[in-house]
Amino acid sequence: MTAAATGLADTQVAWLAVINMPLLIALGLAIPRLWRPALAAAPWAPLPALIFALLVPAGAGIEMDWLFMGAILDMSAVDRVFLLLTALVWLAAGASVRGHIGAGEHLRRFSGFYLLSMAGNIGLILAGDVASFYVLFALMSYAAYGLIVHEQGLRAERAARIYIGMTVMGEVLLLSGLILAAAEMDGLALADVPAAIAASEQSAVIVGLLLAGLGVKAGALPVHVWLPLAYAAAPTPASATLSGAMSAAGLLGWLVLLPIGELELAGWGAWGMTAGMITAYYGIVIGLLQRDPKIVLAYSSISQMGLMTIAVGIGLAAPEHAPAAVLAAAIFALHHGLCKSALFLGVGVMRHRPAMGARARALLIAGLMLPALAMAGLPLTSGGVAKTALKHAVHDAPGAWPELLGTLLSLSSTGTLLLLIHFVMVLLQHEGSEPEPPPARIWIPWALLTGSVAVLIWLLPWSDIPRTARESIAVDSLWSSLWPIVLGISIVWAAYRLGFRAGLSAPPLVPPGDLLAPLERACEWLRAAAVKVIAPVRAAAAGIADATAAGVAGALHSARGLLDLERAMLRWTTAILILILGITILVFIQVWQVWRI
Amino acid sequence: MIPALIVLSSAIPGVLIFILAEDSRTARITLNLSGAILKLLLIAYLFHGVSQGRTFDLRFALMPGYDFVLQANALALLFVSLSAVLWLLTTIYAIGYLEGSPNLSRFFGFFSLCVSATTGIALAANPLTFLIFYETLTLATYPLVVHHGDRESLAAGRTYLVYTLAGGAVVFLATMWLHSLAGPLAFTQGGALRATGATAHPDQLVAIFALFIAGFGVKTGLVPLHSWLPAAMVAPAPVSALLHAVAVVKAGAFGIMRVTYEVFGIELADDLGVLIPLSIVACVTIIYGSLRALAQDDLKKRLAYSTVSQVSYIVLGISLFGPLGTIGGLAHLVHQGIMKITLFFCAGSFAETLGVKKVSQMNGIGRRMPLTMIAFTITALGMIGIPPLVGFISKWYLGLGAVTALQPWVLAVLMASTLLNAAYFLPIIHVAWFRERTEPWPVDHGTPGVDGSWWLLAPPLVTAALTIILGLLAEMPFSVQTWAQLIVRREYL
Repeated sequence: MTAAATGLADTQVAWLAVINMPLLIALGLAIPRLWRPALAAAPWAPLPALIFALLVPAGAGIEMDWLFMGAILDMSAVDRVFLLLTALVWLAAGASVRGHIGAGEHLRRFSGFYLLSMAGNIGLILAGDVASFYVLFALMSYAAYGLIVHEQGLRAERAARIYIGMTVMGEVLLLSGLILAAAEMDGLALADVPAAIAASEQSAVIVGLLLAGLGVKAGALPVHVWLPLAYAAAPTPASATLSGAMSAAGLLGWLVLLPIGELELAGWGAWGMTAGMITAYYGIVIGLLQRDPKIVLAYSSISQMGLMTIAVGIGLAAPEHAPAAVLAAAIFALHHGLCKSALFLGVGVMRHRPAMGARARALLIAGLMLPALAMAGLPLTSGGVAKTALKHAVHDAPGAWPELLGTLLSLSSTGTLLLLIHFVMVLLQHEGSEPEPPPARIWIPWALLTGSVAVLIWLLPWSDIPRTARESIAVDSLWSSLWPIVLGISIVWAAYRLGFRAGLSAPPLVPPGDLLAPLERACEWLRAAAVKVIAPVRAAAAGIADATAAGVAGALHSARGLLDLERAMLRWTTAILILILGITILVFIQVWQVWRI
Repeated sequence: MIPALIVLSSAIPGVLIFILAEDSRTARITLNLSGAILKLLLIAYLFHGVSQGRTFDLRFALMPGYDFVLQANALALLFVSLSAVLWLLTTIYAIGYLEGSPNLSRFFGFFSLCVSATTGIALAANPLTFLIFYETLTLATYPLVVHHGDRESLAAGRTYLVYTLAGGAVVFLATMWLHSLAGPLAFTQGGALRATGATAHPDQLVAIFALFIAGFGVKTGLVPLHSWLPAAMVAPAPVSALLHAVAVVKAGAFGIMRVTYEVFGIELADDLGVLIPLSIVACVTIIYGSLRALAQDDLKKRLAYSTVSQVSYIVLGISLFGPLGTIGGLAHLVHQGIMKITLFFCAGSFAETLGVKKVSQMNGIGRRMPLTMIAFTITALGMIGIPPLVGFISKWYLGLGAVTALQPWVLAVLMASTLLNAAYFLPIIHVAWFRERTEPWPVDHGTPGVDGSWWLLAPPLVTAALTIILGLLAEMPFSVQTWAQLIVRREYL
């Protein structure tokens, strides 16, 4: 460890700078004189986080009693992987913001929410206490609302409304879980949470609350419904960060908070593995039925998040093998985050297709296929390493799980490849809308991110990553990684030969948000039913009230004298009431005194 | 002597303002502001003393056996400082809001008396003194509620009087019954009844407690005694702000606090089994208020129902046995005040500057009055309980209190309330910031992009800043939460 790194790790200012850099720039955006320089600085806001991830050793941390409920910031080995991913994704997407959003007020507003969300996302990784984690998680989630609603209009408003509804629900579940855990703890250190949950009598409830609460962000079934709508409605850089970095925050929350390695929770473990596997295939199937490239990618995210859920399930079911499961989840998150944000940025580059030459187009398609193949587990890419790590974890699963999961996992790679080829096909059928060639700030971030899919994982010297990376290219494991890809390509080729073409004209067989459509219909039906029930009741009540009023009025009208009296009474109601109260009180005191004597 | 000075620092300016001619604006403003600032200085002095463990009191006999006692202890200071700070801000706001309209001497006179009564309630050291100020508050507030003098105001005023006077009578009844059972009592940390023989009559004590809750419940707005509160929002904005944040509803909540902690004592209340019914009443109110708020298009009415719901968080905190729930309740007494006063300030500014009174008229208001809407947004988020704002601190401790008091169902109620709060506050924020304005404002005083007078703008900005600072720095010695912990150490003996 270098002296500089030690210095960094020991100063409060350095830790705060990592989180507060985006916040300070966002503040600058709000000040009339400063907003132009702030806007210029905005893309660089994740730079301190990147430097931190690369220089500061795992295990460093710092305490600040004065902040909030006694803030702790620290960085574990797992945190560092997530911090690297998060910094890279926000950096790449941030560099492209100006190319996608245009200029003026809209850019300023978008950048503001972008920076707030980024601060939350970076901060929650470093958070070392329950309160800070929750604050920063909330900051990220609520600020992302501004990103999703940015383009306004009906589609964005609906997506944002569903997003915020699910988010508030997720926050509420998460907070309930945290409060139940905190009631068992001295202090609020995040590191103590898993043990506290393990010791709690309600550990199964708490685990359920955390799985569901954080699952909203991670896109777990069935709280995933916001995700296809939001990814599609948000501007490209926002989709990239939502899918690449923010969904990983949900996974990180699971890894940090759940009693993985502390407690054998066979039930929740089995649930994690089963639900994860179902989600993985569910995402593929529904995704194949979609016609919008961003929505296809969203379903691919849901599917991939299912694979990560399997790792979490293994960690819960087999505490003794928890470290391997956690490492697998972290490497997978890094791999998936890089691939998915590269693909989303690629959608942005693709919009400039009309102005590109044949070679540029070929390069672009090749560039989209790299992350696609990586996600199918192509050796030498990040995906090969991630799949190897996951297979190791699966190998440790209890009972008959390893055989079952092993096969299904390999087949899911084929499915992933099919889904992503479907994505490229759908993308190619959309005519780009931008008449000029892609500006550098759009294609360079995309190209760098795409390159990192192949390169980055080999450069990381952290914990077991190099060993896993070497194992992923061992000759005896190569075939098990390659056959799903070969199978996938054969299926595509066969389908092509059989004359099957993805059609764009028909509307998607399943509407985006799948479960959402029947849910919304059910809500609408309930509302209509309620109105049907309430309306006659209300009408009857109104009728009775009217009749009574008319009756009273009629009676009063027939007796003018009474009417005058009534008016006088109305005027004097208050005075008389006070008088009566006063007399009551006096009488009461008298009675009481007599009674006392 | 100092407790008396604190009460008089607003009472004397109040009386003087009554005498002032309607057009002596400068004198009125000077009197108002100097009284408010003097009060703050006196309280700062008390704070120092009380945190060192000193108490300050003033005592004289009203009649044999009945003493009039003012005393500043930790609990009293919590409420007195809330009312003093918010009174200063509301005075500033009211000057901007009302100057130029008629009947101002009457208004500001009663306004000052209202605050004097509130500080009296805070500092009262026995049930009798409390009751005197409690009834004074009712009477001093009535002219403020009916200030406009139109039909609707008068009707609301009548409803207000009927409810609060009846409530006051019930409190009186409870006080007298208690007196007959246990003799003269003073508010005592840990509970006054413990040392008396009255604990031999648990049935009567339960009945007395129920009467107290019913009586105080009127001002607190406990369902089903809450109907006056939404009606009273016809009052001018500064009055609504004061009513909902400091004066009336808080007087009721503070009464419940005094009775539970310093008359009965929390342990006796727990033994009597009255806390769980109180939790249930509070939870019903929390949910009911939020549900009603959802349906309101009128902004002030929505805020009024939100008050019904949020003030019951305080009652809920009282009813959860254990220090954590108490901290939540005590902290929310102040936190809710700071947040709700901001919301009413902003609602008043929207109505005054743009004639916007309904949520459905608020499209694009964020761009027209950005600073006001920022203040509104921050505090609305705080109300939902989004961290790191103060509302979250309250919710966190209430939640922990519920779990440690072995009432986990209360946690579910808190979370349901969070969802409902989000459901009625977030749409306002959405339309204000993300909808384009397509039609002209109902009226438009002032220039686009400028919020209007600083008299109206500064108070909500200060309280919105407090919403952030007191939350973000909740562990610092000056925060509400720290002071609440001090009180709890003294109440749980």
